Amino acid sequence: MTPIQIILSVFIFVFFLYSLATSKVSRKLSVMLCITSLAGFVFVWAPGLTEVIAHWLGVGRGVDLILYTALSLNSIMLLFLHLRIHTLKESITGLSRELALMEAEKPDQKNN
Amino acid sequence: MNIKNHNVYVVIPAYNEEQTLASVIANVKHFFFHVVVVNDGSKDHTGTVAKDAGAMVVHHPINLGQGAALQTGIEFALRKGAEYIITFDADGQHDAADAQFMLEGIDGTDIQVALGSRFLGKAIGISRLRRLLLKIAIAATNLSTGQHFTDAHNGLRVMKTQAAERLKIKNDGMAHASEIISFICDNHISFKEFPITIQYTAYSYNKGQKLPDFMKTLLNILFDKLVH
Repeated sequence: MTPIQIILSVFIFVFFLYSLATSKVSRKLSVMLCITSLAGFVFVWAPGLTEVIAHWLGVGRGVDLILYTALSLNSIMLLFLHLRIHTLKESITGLSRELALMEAEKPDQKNN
Repeated sequence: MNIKNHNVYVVIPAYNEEQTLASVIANVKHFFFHVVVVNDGSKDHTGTVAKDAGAMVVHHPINLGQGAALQTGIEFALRKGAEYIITFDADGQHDAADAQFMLEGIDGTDIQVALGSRFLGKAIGISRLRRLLLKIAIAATNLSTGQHFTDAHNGLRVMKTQAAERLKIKNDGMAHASEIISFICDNHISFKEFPITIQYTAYSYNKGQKLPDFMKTLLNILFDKLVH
């Protein structure tokens, strides 16, 4: 057991708790994050496994596999966040518009 | 035809336009009764200037963008019973006489939307770079839609109620212009382009579309093409 394994395990455990907490928002996202955190936990405690999978997938080293996987997951997360922000922005626009129209249509509005 | 007595609503989206808005409204009021200014969360006195100039003012609580402001103005005009809706820029580039000309051009016809074209008319003071960017955007729009537009990003439009009711602008920012063109083509809405004059000034250049807006528009057109 090395110090870095303990530090990474703590981070992954927090991430795992977050994964469970997101199940109310999206079950699919929660499952995906849980699998990711469990895979991370396995790779931290069995680093040799990454070498085996890397060779099987045609990637040179296990560390490269981790890097590529992390980059891919980050891209997916970015896309997900972008879509989520877009949805929120649409809601804010709709809400602001209704508020603006309601204010403008008040009977005591002198400028209308 | 006495246009003043018609249910024509001129929608002007405005963000920090206190400098030019009074003269723009005066120009529009010379031809049309109903002027709706959508004050898009301005930080200056745009709302007060618009109200003092005799316009109806709808206030966005926060700045949402020109596309969102247009949609709000269109919805407001429809609720007021508009038969014709004109979209008009707040930076003083447009002339209300052109709007009247376009309105008369489609009144009593089957045409649903009139689009202003600076390249059929005049673009006074346009820079070479702006002309080039607009031509690229027009070429991309024509390629994407299969139609022939001479100007794709002109803020001066006249819409009949039937078309305006179906329009739901999703792009809050500047990319709404290409969205409106796509809406027209996808829904087979009859349209006609009219020659108009655009007067470019240092102020309008500062307020108008920037290079990133053009890039976003081109990306939107490309994305639209891929999706369809």
